[in-house]
Order: sequence, then structure tokens, then C-alpha cells
Amino acid sequence: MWLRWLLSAILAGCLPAGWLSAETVFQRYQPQPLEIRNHPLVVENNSDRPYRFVLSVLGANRAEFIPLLAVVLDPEDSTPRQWIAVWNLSSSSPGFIQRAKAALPFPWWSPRGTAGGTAGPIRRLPKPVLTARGRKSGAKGRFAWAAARRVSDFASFFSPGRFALETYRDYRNDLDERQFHQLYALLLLYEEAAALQPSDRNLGLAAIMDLKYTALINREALGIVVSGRSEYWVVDKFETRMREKMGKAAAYLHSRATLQGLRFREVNYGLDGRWPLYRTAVLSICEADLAERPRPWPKNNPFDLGYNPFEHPRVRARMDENPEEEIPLAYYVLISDFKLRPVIVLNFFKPGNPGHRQDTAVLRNTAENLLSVYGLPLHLQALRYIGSWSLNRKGVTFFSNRSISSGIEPAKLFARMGWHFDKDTNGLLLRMLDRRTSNPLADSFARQVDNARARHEAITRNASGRLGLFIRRVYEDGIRKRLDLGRRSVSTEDIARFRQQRALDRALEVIRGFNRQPHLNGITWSRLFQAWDRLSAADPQRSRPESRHFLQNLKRLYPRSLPEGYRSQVAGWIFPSGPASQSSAFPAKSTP
Amino acid sequence: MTSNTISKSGTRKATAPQGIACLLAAIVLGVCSGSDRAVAGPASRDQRARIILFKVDGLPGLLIKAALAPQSDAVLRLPFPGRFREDYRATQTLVGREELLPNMKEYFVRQGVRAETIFTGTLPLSAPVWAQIDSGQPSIVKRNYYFNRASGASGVFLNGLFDSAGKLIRGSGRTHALWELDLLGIPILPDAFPPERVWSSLQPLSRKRSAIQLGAMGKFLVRAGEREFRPGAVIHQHLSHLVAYPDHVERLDRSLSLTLAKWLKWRAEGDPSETLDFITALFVTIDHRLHLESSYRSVLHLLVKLDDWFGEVMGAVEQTSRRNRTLVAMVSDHGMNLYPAHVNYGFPINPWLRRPEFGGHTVLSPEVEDSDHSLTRAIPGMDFTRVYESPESPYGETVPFGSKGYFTAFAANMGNPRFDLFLRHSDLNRLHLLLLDSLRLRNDVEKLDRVFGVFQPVFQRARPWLEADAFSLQQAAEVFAAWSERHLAAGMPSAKDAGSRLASEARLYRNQAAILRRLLALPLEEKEWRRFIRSGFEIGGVIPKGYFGPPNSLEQLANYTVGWSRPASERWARSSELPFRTLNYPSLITGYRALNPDAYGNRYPFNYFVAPIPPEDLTGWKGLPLRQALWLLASEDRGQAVLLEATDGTLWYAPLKNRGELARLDAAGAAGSRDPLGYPGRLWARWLDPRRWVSETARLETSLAPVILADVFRPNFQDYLSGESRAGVLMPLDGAGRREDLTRALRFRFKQATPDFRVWMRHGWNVNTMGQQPGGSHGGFLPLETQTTFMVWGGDEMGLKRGCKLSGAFLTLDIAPTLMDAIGRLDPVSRRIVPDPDHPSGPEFPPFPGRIIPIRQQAGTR
Repeated sequence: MWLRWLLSAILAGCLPAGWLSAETVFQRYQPQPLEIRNHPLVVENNSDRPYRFVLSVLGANRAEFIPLLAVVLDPEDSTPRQWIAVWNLSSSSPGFIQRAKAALPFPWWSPRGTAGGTAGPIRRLPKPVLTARGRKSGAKGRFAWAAARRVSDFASFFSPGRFALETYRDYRNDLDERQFHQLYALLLLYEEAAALQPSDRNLGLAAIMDLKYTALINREALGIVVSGRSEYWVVDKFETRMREKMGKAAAYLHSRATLQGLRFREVNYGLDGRWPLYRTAVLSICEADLAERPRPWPKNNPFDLGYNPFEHPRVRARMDENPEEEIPLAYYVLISDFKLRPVIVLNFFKPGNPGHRQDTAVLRNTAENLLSVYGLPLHLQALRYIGSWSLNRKGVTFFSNRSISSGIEPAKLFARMGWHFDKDTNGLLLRMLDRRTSNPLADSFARQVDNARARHEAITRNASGRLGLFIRRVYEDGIRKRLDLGRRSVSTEDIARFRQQRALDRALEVIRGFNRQPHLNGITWSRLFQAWDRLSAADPQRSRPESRHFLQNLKRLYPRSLPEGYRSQVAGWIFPSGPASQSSAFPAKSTP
Repeated sequence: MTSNTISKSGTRKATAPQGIACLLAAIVLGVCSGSDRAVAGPASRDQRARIILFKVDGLPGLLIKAALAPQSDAVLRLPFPGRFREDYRATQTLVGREELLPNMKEYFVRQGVRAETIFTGTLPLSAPVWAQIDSGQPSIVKRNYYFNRASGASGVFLNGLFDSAGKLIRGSGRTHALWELDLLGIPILPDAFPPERVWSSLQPLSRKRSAIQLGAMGKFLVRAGEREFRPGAVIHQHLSHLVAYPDHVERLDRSLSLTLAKWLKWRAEGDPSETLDFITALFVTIDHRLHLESSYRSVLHLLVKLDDWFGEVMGAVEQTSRRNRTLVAMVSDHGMNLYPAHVNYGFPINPWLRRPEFGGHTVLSPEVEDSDHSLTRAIPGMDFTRVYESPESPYGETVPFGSKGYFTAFAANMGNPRFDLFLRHSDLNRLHLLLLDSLRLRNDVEKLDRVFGVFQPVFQRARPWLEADAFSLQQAAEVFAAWSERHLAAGMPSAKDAGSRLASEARLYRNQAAILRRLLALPLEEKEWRRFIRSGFEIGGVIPKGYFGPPNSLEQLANYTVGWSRPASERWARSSELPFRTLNYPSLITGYRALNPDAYGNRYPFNYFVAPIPPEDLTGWKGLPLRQALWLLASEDRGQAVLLEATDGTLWYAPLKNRGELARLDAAGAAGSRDPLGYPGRLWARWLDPRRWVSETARLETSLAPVILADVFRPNFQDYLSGESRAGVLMPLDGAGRREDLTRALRFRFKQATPDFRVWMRHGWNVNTMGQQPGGSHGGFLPLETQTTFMVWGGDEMGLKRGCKLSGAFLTLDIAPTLMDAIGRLDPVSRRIVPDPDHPSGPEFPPFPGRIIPIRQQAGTR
């Protein structure tokens, strides 16, 4: 505990009394040039034609390339399943000591590697965050945890073991959530960079969406019940909600700042010339804006400053010194699990304040875990539930167990890349963001930087060696699963068959898309009928549900909604016994 | 659920508790509203044409044009056209279709007819425009909120949940907005058909709650979207939804399309005569979503879904035997000003009004403020109006003898860039202040005499309108009470509903009239007055709460009393001074500079201040006889203008140098002034038909401003109260008093909904008391907001044009007559709807003022 206070005091002392002027710090806009580096990856197999994959690495193209995300993909595959494995280069798995710490029922205040110490060189291939082989592995792990927890609930007596389990679970969930948001931010950046540098060897848009979808369904234990087929609408909903939340929080903070006489400025993260991906904000104060009669400072305000800026002696002194100066007060991220409330990250005149809020969250979690072990009587449980609901509803940030990692992790990523602010500001921001990461399993920013370098090197060092072997295993597992080969090795014929199957899968996807349409067709007829040719060749008996459904739909559209050139051909498919059997729901009329 | 369906507020984003509420409401209302499964009429084969009105709330005309033809110039009128095309291509890849909107393209572009440019004929807000589209008459509903200056009563025209609750409480599903039209005897299009031949989804103007839709929604939610009840699949879907967080509003629209399709098919299979003649369904997802977030990819994805829903319905239409006698129209009420990269910031109007520098008003708020953090509004849509006291209010509890509940301002706003402001009459404020100070000083004879010296002239000035209001309130209360009794005695659900609404208004009016009478009874003779003051009285007994009096004139707004100019200890030291603190609202609003700029860097949130000009200000006018005159003042000293509307409906617009010029205004105008709306000089000081305005200025950003302003300020209700009242919609007055009394009472009632002025915000600012709406907005004059959608497809026997795009500017006012003309129900001479022989008791429609959009191949051919 004393260490925490000491750190706060040191940090407070480190801040220059005058701090940096808002104009010099916050008006710079430095979107970093991102680059996608694609490396060919030739992997031997049992045939005479080796696999030709691409290792696509996204990074910030500065004096030194900062690698961020690595994806191995099959460039010959244009389906959403183009990707084979993905690495979030900055994130590493926690070691034994970290796991042991996380299981101790003690509130840890900082992430791994805060006190220094770098990640050493990595000899083995780093573990990917997602692979085509285990599309739902994260969800399954969560489900197993949830089941274990249910089992542990039967132990209604005090059990240190259960307390440890709950504590570990909380830290683990927090780490997963952080890693999810890191990955999602990287995928958003990859998508933007790919739009600016189009290439056939980049991960395709559909595959990026599939990756996002896979990340989303692995976020929840119930992801195991969700369909494995990529659902674009799930991704669309998530991103829409994300943008909506940031917009609402920005509007909320703006309106409250306007009412209170404080200045508000949005700081957006995005690529040059593109729309912002993440929104953050800076709050500041200026003597020139102040009303003659100071406005009462509401106790319940969204700024979370911990003091009244109009009365704070240091703020007042700065304002008296230069009445025209815009004095930054705080920096906020605008997305979190709070409904509207922005999350304070950097408080320039009370630097320990954001950290204290984080500490109270840790304390609450610890207390909750302890209470859950003891088990409260029903009326106290009800009281606790109502209290918790009200605090959450009101957006009270002290003792709140709402996750803030959706805003913290992207901000950390951008600050690491030197986005937007100067080096000193970003450095301070990173320290403060670490202060908002109270999890012994999570990596500090310094460790993330080391991780990225070491893991990138480990992946690229011997690409055709360990990486090639791993990718081959994952890819061939996919072949075995698709062709139902059991555990036997994959032969040249299998590869050829698999390629045919992939072509059939693509055709099936087109046919399914057609079948999902409630009425008229939006797919070009030539593409649709090419797909049908492939499917009907594979399913001459029309035994697959897709085939039956397809023919039914064609029959429904025949002849009015079919182009004239295709009608006789379609008639042959849907009325195999000849023209006498032709009947349709619609009378035959020419298309206008 | 109903609040989801028709609500406008961005704070009504569906959430998990809302989903539960939707489900419960759907089940409860579905059960309680009984079956409205219409009994089929005579089983004769019906050769009449049928209308299916596919309403899409907030679908911007420019956006749908661009989505139907992404390579056309239509895209260039959207912000970031390059990004739109990029996202269009991305959406093609992601949904796996080359044609994103195949159904709309086939039915409306290739086989149908569409208006290239159609604008809202009134303020681009849902309640006013849907009322105009449904009735074909100029606007009666002027905003999304109702407020009565005499009683302080308020309501929301878009609160579907309360409208649905009305079914349980009053036994009728008539919506609040429709009640406004019913009072004036203005029918809506479904009234032209026998009730059993009409099917209507939940929408702002409907006469009954659709049990079928509510039941289907409940079923859809229980089944989690599965068409058949297979327990395994349903559980699987529910569990999946926990991961994927589906949007409940979108799900309800999806359920509506399925219900509609099923209903059509059921009719087709079960009843060969297919007896439905008028089907109207409102889809609200687009509006709901665009208010919150408006990136193109998300919008295009929504349009794909909308096309699927439309396709679902068209698939069913194709299977019906009346297919060739069916007309399907897709209409939208307004567009949406979307700018995907930026956030629309909210201007907190109510806290602003509570500030002393802006009046220190205690305000009536339509709903709880900061609704996202409110504990009392756990479920969006379930809330009530409430009063927010200003600590600076000179009438509140903080002053001696003050009391709570005296609100003096009501800002009708709902997350869009505009608001109507109702302020209590300035003289009533003075009376209130003087009475409070009289009580405080009742033992100080000298100062009390000085108070009387000010009180007497103020009271004498206010007496005429106070007397008129007291009389009108009493008279309206009596008429409404009598009318109410007659309705309640009738026993039918809709009559009971009318009776209960009338009784409630009568009660409020009676109460206000009684207090006003006590105020008017105050002595004007000094001794008696002093005696009265010394005897002590309750301020609530002489100043009615919620009573605002008539709207303030421009002079009063420029000198509006908001409190005392000095503290109590310094007041009344001298006899000559006028101790009131006043504000100049036109200057305050147009000169206000916000501390923080909007996303475009603009610090002036208010764009235009518009208020009516009293006729006595236009003393020099010798031109055409005028119906109304409006004064428009732009912020940031960008000029001011006058808009005149002649009795024949033509408009005259001219910039002004200052308001003093009004007295000298003549038909030549005041040349050389700055034009706040940016029209070319050739249009200044010329009488032009509203449509001429639209076509002359179609490419300008503020093209529609004069047309919208003229409609929204015009007291259209007066046209429906003159002459013979149209019976039928509400029960005739027979036996419940004289018709003139009713007309007078109704005139008084509708006049009470007049605001003092209206304000339009700058692009980038929203006005929202409740929550935040960072996405698009509407309600202003920009083409993205005012251009709507009208696309029609007709079966082979309907004789409609094919593959045709109609040039020329049309208005939403034209939709009703066009549809009725297309099915042969419009009398070309009288421009009224031809009565349905099967519905002899149907209401008589007033003539349509709108034009017929030429969607038919040629007149007379069908």
C-alpha cells in the first residue's frame, strides 16, 4: 500500500508545476503511417506443390518498424476463411509467477513488468491468439471456467481455495477482455491500412470480418452455442455500438463542460484522411472563460477530477499567471462499460486520482469475492444488488466493477505508437494507462513493446521452419476435418480434393446467400448459376438442403423475376419432367 | 416495445431491460387488446384496388437515391461521396450481393415510378409529417410534443407505450397525435375505408392498437426470431442473442415485415376475396439507428435489411389474387442530416434556461434529464413530465412566500437541432413578482404603496387578456365537460376514450379558470388592495401553476421580465424605479457564443430565431392581404429577414436591415441587406407560390425554409373550425350545447399550443434535454433532412407508369391525394375522397390542398 502512495507522490512530484501548455501538447495531430508487410511463406507438404501462404504483418512505419499484428493467410482462398493463424504481437501469455500472484487473494495494483525488466528473447514459436483450428477455443475455455465456478458454488463454507479461484478468474477475465480489445483495435487498424494500401496479398475484407466475428464469439462463454458461420451483422452491431458509445460520451462530456465553463476538445485516433476509430478528450480551463460569479461545482459531475478546478490553488495560480492560457486538467477515454461516463486517465493536477479509482475497483472485486465465499443472507443479497445496480446506473466510478479496458487498451496502443502527442506526453500517458491496469497477468506498456519486438522476431526468424511447421499442422488439420480423414497424413490427392471442396464451399456460400434472400435476387445470375453448376455436379440427386431450397426459390421466381436468357435453362432444372409440369406461383409474364 | 417502435429519442436505444419490457408489453397488450382480427366482409369477389403503404421513418431521399444508383450524381450530394462508394463496395463483399437493394430496384426503379425530388411540406419531424402524409392536410400537429399554455398540460406524440397503455386505461388505441386531428374532424386515410378492410401497424397516428402486431411481436421475441416453435432452436437462438446483442428495434421491424407478409398470405389463402383495402406499416429502425450512429457501412447494411423486409412483403403480395390491383408505396416522413465522421453535440437547453443569465426559469421537462443515469427511468419510454426548479427562480421556495412548481418555460425538444420555446407571459411574471413582494412587505406601509404604484398599471394592462382567458377557460371547460358526458354515455371504446380525454381537459381548465377569477377579483383601489394584502393570501390561490397566458409579443420578448433587478433589501427604496430585471431574448439567443465549439469549430449554437410579427407592426404594408408575417433573425450578425404569406398562400421574402424597417415595409422590399438564408437577389421581394420557391431554390442548402416556416407558424386549425364542422370522426355535438360554443372552445384550445418563438440550431448541435444523440438529426432546412422518399409500384391493372422517374418538386402534402387518385377514389372536381359505398357512416374528408403526383400512365386509365 505504502508503495502505491509513494509512487503517486513521486509521480505528482515529477509533473512539472507549469505542465505543458495545452496548445503545444494537444493541437498536434500525428497519425502514424501504418504499413502492412507481406512475406511469402512457402511450406513443404506431401505433394510436389508446396503450400504458398503469406505472413502479413501490420506495424507502424517509423524510424524503426513497430510490429503489431501478424496473420498467416492463404492468398488463393477468397472466402472469409482465408486466415490460418493470428498473433497479437504485443501480448504474451502470463508466466507461472504471474498466475500464482493472480490466484493470491490480494489486490494487485499494477500490471506485469511495471517495475522494469524486459521480456527475454523467445526461442519457441509464440502462441497465436486465434487459429483456424480452434475457432471457438476461447469460448470453450470460458465455458469450462464457468462450469468450474458452478461446481465450486456448491462449497458454501469458507474455502481459501475457492477464494483464490474467484480471484484468479477475475484477473483472467480482465486479461481476456484486455487482449480482446487490443486485438480488435489492431484489426480495425489493419482494415484501414489495407484500404489505403490495397494488395491481393493482404487479408481480404471478408476475412477481417470473420476474424472480428471469431474474436467476438470467443469473448463469451456462450460463444460455444453461436453458429460458426461468420455473421457480418454481429460485427456490424458491435462496431455500431462502439461508435455510438464514444459519440454519446463525447456529447455528454461536451455538454457538461459547456455548462460548467470548462473547455472540451476531442482527440481522435484514426488514419490520415480516414474517419476516427477511437475518440478521446481533453478537458481544460481558461481564466478568460470564467464567469464573474463562479458557478457552483456540482458534487456529482462527470469530470472525476477530485477537486473544484475553479478553487484549486495551483490551477488558480496558473490562471493568474496567464489568463489567456488554456490549462489542461484531464484526459479521458470515451469508451468503457459505463453507459455514458468518460474514464479519466490523466489528471494533471491530482495525478493519483485515476489510480485511486482503479484501486477502489480492485478492492471491490476482492471484497465481492470474499463475500461470495461466505454467502450473504437473501435480504442482504437483495440490498447489495440494488446498491450495485444504482451505483452502476448513476455511473459512479469509485468502487465500480465496470470494465474500462475497451478504452484503456486502444489508448495504450496508440500512445505506444507515438500517436498524436509528443514523446513526453505519450510517456506520461502510458504510465497513467498502466496505472489503470491493475492486473498481475496483464503486460505493462514497456513489456508490450518488448513483446512485440521479440515475438515478431521469433515468428519471422525461421519462418519456413517452426512457423511453417505450425501453419502446416493447422492447415492440414483443417483438411483432415473437412475431408473426414481422421488422423492420417494428408496426401497429394487429399490436397487436390480439399481445393475442390473449398471451391464447393465458395459455391455453397453463394447458394446460401441466394437462399437467405426473402424475395428477389441481388446476386448476379451468372455468378449464381456458376455456383449452382458446381453444387449440382457435387449433388446430382439434389439431396442437400441448399439444393432443394435453391430450386424452390427459383421456382418461386420463375419466370417473371428471371432474366429471359436464363429461363429455359432454369425451367429444365425446376421442371425436370418437362414443360407439362410447369406451374408457378406467379402467372408467366414478361419482365418489363 | 411500442416505445421502441415509434420513439425518436436516441436514449431509447434498446437494452436488455428494454427487451424484457418489450416482451412483457407485447404479451400484455396483445392479450388485453382483444382480437382485432377483422371479420371478413361480404364474400363477394372484390375488384377494388388496394393500397399498401410501406412507411419508413427517417429514410433520407438523397441516401436512398444514392444507394439505388451508387455511380450516379446523387452520391455527390452526400458528405464524403468517395467514402460512400467505398463502403458500398465493401458492403457488396460482406453481404455477398452485387445488388444491395434488389427488391426496391426491381419494383420501384424498373417497374415502378418514383418522385425524384419530394420534400416535407412541413417541419421535418415525425409527428408533423406523418400527420400530413396520413391526412393530406396542412400541419395541425406542429412538433413532437404537445403543450397547452393555459393548463400546462404536456404530452409526447411519439410515446407509443403510453398510447398503448391508453388501450388498457381508456379502452381505445387512438394515439395522442390522432386525437389532435380528431378534435378538428380531420380524418386520416384509413378512415376512408371500412374499418374491417384496414390493417395498421403501431404508428404515431392510428386509431387502434394492432393486436396482431403486438401478438406477433411477443411471439417473435419469445421465439427469438425462429419462425416455428422448436424448443431446441429457440433456446439456441436466445443463448446466441446473449452473445450477439441484437438490436431490439430492428428485431421488431423484422417481426413486422414477417407479420405483414403472413397476414397477406393468410388472407390470400383463407379468404379469396382478400378483403383488406388499406394496409399501412411503419418501420422505424432507420431513424432510430441514424440518430445514434451514421457510418455509411452500417447505414447500407440497414438498407439491405430494409430491402429484405420489403421483399418479404412483396413476395406475399405476388402470391395474392389482388396482386394486379395492388398499389405499393414506400414513403418516408423526413430525411436525416448525417455526417459520419463527426459527433453531433447536445445543447443542454433546460439547464441553460435555469441559469440566471438566461432567465433563471423553472422549467417543465418532457422527461427526466440525463435519462441515462436516472434511477427512475429504468425502461426507456416509461417516463413522465417533471418540473426542474431553478435555484435562481424568483418564484421558488428560496424566496419568501415562494413555492415550488411555478415553471415559466417549456422547451419542446427531442434530440434534434431545433426547439420551440414557450415562455410565461412577461406581465404575468411581473404580477407574480409584485404579489410575492407585497406579501413580504405587507407590514411596511411605505414600500407597499410603492409596490402598488407598479402593480396597478401592470394589472390593468394584463386584465383584458386575463379576463378573456378566464372566460375562455370556463367556457371550454363547460363545453368539453358536456361533450365528454355525451361521449361517455355512448359506451363505445373510441367514444369512451374521447370522453375521458375531454373530461380531463375540462377538469384542468376549470381549475385554472377558478384561480384566474380570484386573480381578477383583486382590488384595484389602493386601500382595498392594501387591506387584501395585509389579510394574507396563498400565492397559489391567485396565480395558477402551469398557466402561461398568451404568447409574448416581439416587444415583450425583447424586454422579457425574468425577476428583480436588485436584491430584496435594496428594492422599493425610491418610488420612481421599475425594479424588474429583463432579458432581450432575440439578442440573447442569436448572440450567444458557447464556450466549446461544435465538431465543425462553430461556437454559435443557435442559427435562426423566428417569431411571428404582429399585424400592427406592419403599418406601412399596402400589398396583398396577409395571412401571417414572420421575422427571422440569424445569429452572429448574419442578417435578418421578413417572410410574408398572403391569404392566397403565396410567399414573399426579403432581407431586412433592422426590425424598425417593418413599419415602413412595402412591396418593393428592403434591398441591399444581408440575406440570412442566402437566396439569390432575384427571389427577394417577389410573390411566389411555395412550389415555385422549392423549384427555384432546389440546389440551395436552405431551399425549403420559407415553405416550412410558413406552414409551421400558420394556425391551420382555424381553417377547420370555420363553416360547417365535419362530423363523423368524433361524435357530433347534438344535445351537448351549441356548435359555436364548441368551435370557440376548440379554437381556444388549439391556440394554447402556440409557442413564443422557434429556434433552429447550427449543423452539429442538437437540443436534447434527456440524453445524447451523437448521430444524425433532422428538423432543419438542409436537403438531407427535408428530402423524403416517395416510390410507387402498381400491379398490372393499376395503370401506373413503369420505370419512370418524375422530375419536379413535390411535397408530402401531395401523397394522400395521389394515392387516392391512383385507386380511383378522388373526385377531381371537389378534390375530396369519394365515399366508400360499403362505409356510408365514414367521415367526410375535407378537400385536399395538395397536388396529384403524375404516377398514372394517363388520367382516366386504370
